[in-house]
This record gives sequence, structure tokens and C-alpha cells, in this order.
Amino acid sequence: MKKTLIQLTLATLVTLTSASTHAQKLKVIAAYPYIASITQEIAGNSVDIESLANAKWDPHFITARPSFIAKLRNADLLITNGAELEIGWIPPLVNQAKNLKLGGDGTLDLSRYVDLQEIPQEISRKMGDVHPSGNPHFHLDPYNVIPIAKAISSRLIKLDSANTANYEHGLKIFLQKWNEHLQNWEKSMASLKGQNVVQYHNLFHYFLHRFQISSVATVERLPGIPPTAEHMIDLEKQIKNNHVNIVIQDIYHPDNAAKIITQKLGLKLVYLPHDVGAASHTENIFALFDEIVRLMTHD
Amino acid sequence: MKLYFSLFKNLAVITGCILFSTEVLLPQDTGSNNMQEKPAAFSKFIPDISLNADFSGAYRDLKQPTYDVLALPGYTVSGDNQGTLNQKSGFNFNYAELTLYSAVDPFFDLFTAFHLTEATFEIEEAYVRTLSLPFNIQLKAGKFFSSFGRLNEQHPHSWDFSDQPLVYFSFLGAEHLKEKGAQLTWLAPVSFYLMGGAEVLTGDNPMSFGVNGFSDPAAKHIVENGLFPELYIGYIKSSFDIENLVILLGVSGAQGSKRIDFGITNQDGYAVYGISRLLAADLTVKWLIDSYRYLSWQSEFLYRNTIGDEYFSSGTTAKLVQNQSGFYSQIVFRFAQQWKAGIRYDLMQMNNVTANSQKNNLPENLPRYTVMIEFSPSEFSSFRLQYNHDRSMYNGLSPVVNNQVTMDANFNIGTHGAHKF
Repeated sequence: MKKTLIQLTLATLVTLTSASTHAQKLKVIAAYPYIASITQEIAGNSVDIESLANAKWDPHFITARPSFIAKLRNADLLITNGAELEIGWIPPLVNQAKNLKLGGDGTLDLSRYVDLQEIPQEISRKMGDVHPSGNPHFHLDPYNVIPIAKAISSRLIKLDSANTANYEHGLKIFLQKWNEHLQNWEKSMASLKGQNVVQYHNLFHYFLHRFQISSVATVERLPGIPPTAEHMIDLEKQIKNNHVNIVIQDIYHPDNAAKIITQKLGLKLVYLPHDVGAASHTENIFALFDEIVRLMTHD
Repeated sequence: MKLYFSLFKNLAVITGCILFSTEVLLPQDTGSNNMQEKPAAFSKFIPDISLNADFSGAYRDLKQPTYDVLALPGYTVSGDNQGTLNQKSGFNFNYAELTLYSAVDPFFDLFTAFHLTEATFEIEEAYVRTLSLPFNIQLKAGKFFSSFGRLNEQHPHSWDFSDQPLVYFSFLGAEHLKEKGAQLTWLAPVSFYLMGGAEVLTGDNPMSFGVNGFSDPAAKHIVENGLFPELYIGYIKSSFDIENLVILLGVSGAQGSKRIDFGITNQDGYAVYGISRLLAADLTVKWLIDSYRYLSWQSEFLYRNTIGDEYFSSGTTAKLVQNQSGFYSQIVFRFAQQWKAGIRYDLMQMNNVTANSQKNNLPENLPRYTVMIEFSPSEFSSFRLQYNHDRSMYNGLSPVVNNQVTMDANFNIGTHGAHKF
């Protein structure tokens, strides 16, 4: 009786596990929607791609839902943003997924393929929730999307060499299209060159830096710490001294402080989407940057 | 002082060596093609280190000596309050918890937690986990909090309230099911979260199990020490999402030998030896409103059955049967990035204890009501104000009402911890 039970259990185990390894398409899980969108552009229908985080959430604070563990369990490749952006939620999920494929080449950390900026000289939580490796929101520089796309394509080829031609072709077409868009964005953004702006969180640093716009202050007091009345007085001073005209608000932080200060000083308040799907007209990575540029430049 | 300095210097030198040598030793990522690669963070070779410190001020209308002898009849005995969090009226240094974590090699990772109080140093957890077993299986071995139930494996600084639910304190003790042993968990190959686990543990628990034998003064009855792992635990947990509503539920069972000595060597003392079975069901429903706000409802029900013998110091024995249960249910609302508020209802329900088929007349349906509000200046510090209206405790045979206000402060330095659901 006992023996049959053991045999039965083993048989079930083998059936269940082999069933999951017979999938034809590469299963790719992206930490954030922008990664899923770039992967989709390159791979088309050759892979199954899904994003864990929703673009409407603060990328630093994603709740580690158990359903994510089930998704990671069945993944062939996990693509993360890296630079400690996911430190608060991804590590325990990966551990609980108990998926051997996510070791080694099964995880791709995109931060290793771009030059990170704002690497703190001194690392102390006195400065708020700082990222020791630098500002992690590098995908918002459209030029960084190029090495990101190349890294994704190389990794897909490595894991799924049968589709090499598809991925190479996908990357080529994507980069062609991307370079055309880059020229348009350069043209549109030229009018804002040299301007000073204020952001809620230093989320758009790479974008602003690329187009030579200075971000002189943040509405939040320090990274991860909401504004206080005292900080708002200080912010007002900085806005006046630096002749700031635009305040950039992301879509997930409370916007009351930004509203008050822009109304009081007669500034332009721009709600910028930071990821694919964060707002309307951002259905893919091209649309996301089209929309950011449109919102920054229209009056 | 000098010793500390030289120790520190040595540590610095060693660290320096590690930092320096890794530059040469780092494996090159072969997946890079013509990409310019960045070296991985050097600091990864030093374990992740963090320290959590917890202080509280407690005020209650009972005098300290009265509070110290209170018990939940049939569940706890006078003196079990000793060493619990916020025990003293006035200031409490509850604990400092030092944790170290790192991968050992490609096959294992190691987590340790040192629980420090003013006078004690305890290795609270120290376990290795496998990283490379096939079939979505993971083994864990060492000393660890059992994954029984929902709250059992959480460290106090992750709790929503400044104390544990009554049913946990009564059935699992102030330190929960924290045992030496091994655990096997498996993630089922389905599209939703379905996890099953089994544990074989020593069974060294002051409330429901126990490994230390005893004997009455005349050595008429001798119960030997437990020699082998005697506690077996199993659980199934599942979770699914309905849009931004996350539902997590689980059922757990535990069975083990119970050996508890209530002073059998003293006159009128007694001890218990038998088998305890625990059953637990938990349900968490969490509505994620946006990135910072959520509304969470969490409940756990525990049932305990013990069958065994009571041994008295006089040398007589009695057949003991216990059927007991209790639950807690709590609602926590995080209404802003820095603010949380919560209410909790505790009830010790069934309290059916018979000795030689004779029913002990024990009180049932013992409640406690708790409210709290918490302010977190950042992710790394928090202050919680909590009020308990506790109608569960007795001083001997007379019920006592305890009203307590606790101000709890918690601080964390070091590695940024991740938050499990």
C-alpha cells in the first residue's frame, strides 16, 4: 500500500514537472512594463512576455504578491531593471519561486548595460532612501533604450538560439525605428534646452539630463520622504532663484504639494508618465516617449 | 578598548582584501556579446547586515506584581507573562535583532538572526536553504520559525501590532514555533500560487509540545526526554488576485509529543505527557488601493487537541483531554505613505479540559480588543501607539481587566530588507 502510494506520488510529480517543461515559447517575465514593451518589439510572437509591476504603481514599492511567485516559477527568463530598484520586492519572490532556470543566464539585470548617473559620494540614510549604485530610472533616457534592447536581444538569442534570426531582425527593425524617433524627440526638446525644472522625485533625471534641462530641486524632502511645510518654503525660494517654470509630477505620488506651489507661483504643472501604460497614449515604448515629449513641449 | 580597536582594524584589513581581490576573481558574464560590462557590486561578498532595535513605553492601570502573575486559565499559567514584549510598566528595551544573510555558494544560502535583549544573546534563527534542487523544491535546515500558520514565521518588527495574538501566545508561546529541524517546500506547477510544505522538528515548545522529561519526587512515574524529532508539521498555502485584491489562505497542521512540567517536584505540582495536535486556518484579504494605501483583513483560527496523562507530585495520575480553540481577526488600513491604523479582536473560544472524564470548570470566550495607529517617518523607522482592553486574564480564580497603552518605537539600520507579502 505504502509502496503504491509512493509510486503514485512520484508518477504525479514527474507528469506535473514534465508538463511544464514542454512549453515551446520562451516565457519571459519583466519586472516593469517598459521592459516587456521593448522585449515585445524585438521578439514579437516568439516569446510569451508578461510584466510583474503595473505602470500605475510606484516602481520602488511594488507589493510582493504571491501570484508573482507563481509567474516566476514558470519563467525561463526574468528581466529586471536593477540598480536596487527592485530590492524591496523581487529577491524574496525569486527565492520562493524555487526556479533553477532563473539562476545564471535566466536573469538579466539591465542596469549593467548602461552608465548610471548620480552615484552618491557618501551613502547614508540621512539622505533618505538613496540608491548606492546610482539613480535607477535610466530607461527614461531614450538613448539608453538602445543598449537595453541590445542586451535583451543577446540574451534571448542565448536562451533560444533556434529563433536567432527572428531576434536579430526584430532588433534591427526596432533600432531603425528608434533612431527615427530619436531625431524627432531631439528636435522637439531643443526648445527646452537650458531650462530649470522641479520634480516630485528625481524620476526623470536621465531624460532631463539628456536634453540639457536642469532639475534644481524635488518636491519630496528627500528620496522616499514626503514634503513638510518647511521644505515647501525652501522649495519656493529655490524655484524663484532658479527661474523655474515647470514642475514635473509623476502619476503615483500625491500631487497636492505640487498643485499648491504651481498655483501660487503661476507655474506649469506637468504630469509625466514614467512607464508604458502609466497614462493614456503610452501603450508602448515609442508612445511613452512621444507622450513625455508632447507633455513637456505643449503649452 | 584596545582589543576592540585591533579587532576593528583586522576586520577593515580583511574587508579591504576582499574588496581588492574580487576585482580579479569576478567571473565575466559571457552573455554580453559586444556590450561593455560593469563589474558586479563588490559588496555582495560581505553578507547583508541589518540591525533592528525596538523600544517601548507601557502604561497600565494594574500594578506590576499583579500583572506578572496573570494567566489565561487552561491556556497559560502564572509566570508565562515573564519576558514578553512591553512587559514592564514604564520603559522597555524589547530587543535588538541582528541579521546576516548571504549566499554560501551556488548550492546554499545562509540566514542568521541574533535576538539580543539587555541580558541575553540568542541565536534566534540560523538556517541554510538549498538553491539548486530541481522540481521547484526547496530544503531548509537549521533553527528557524516554522511556516505553520500566517504569523508564525514573522519576526516581531513585521507585526502590525506591538504584541502577538492571544491564541499564538496561548498555543505557541511568546516565541512561536521556533525549532531546530528541517523543512521541505514545493511550489505546484499551476498558474496560481499553490505551495505545500512539510517540517520535521525537535518539538521544543513551552506551550504545546516539549522534549524535557520529568519524574515525580518518589520516582514512581518517569517520563524520559524526547530523543528524536517529535514534531511534524504540514501546510498548504494558496493565493490569487482579483485585480488589486490579493487573497492568501492557508491550512496548517502540527502533531507532536507534549511534555510540560508544571513543577511536579513541588508539593501539589504536576506535569503533562501526551500528544498535541494543532490545526490552523488563515485568511488574508488585502486591497491595494494605490502604491501607498491598502486595506487589509487578516484572520487566523487555531484549534488544539491534547490527549495524555497528568502526573501529580503525589505519584497519582489522571487521563487528560484538552479541546481548545481561539482566533484573531484584524483590519489594518494604511491610509497614507507614512500612516497606518488598525483594530484587532482576539477571542479564546473553546476551553474544554477533562481529567479522568471530569470536566474542569474553565472560563470560555475570553476576549481582548486592540487598536493602534502607526507613524513611519521613513521606511526604516516607525512609532506605534496601541491600546489594549484585555478581558482574557485571570488572577487565580478572579477575572481581571487590563487596560494598557503602549508606545512602541522601531528602528532599522543596514541592508534594505525586502517585504514578503
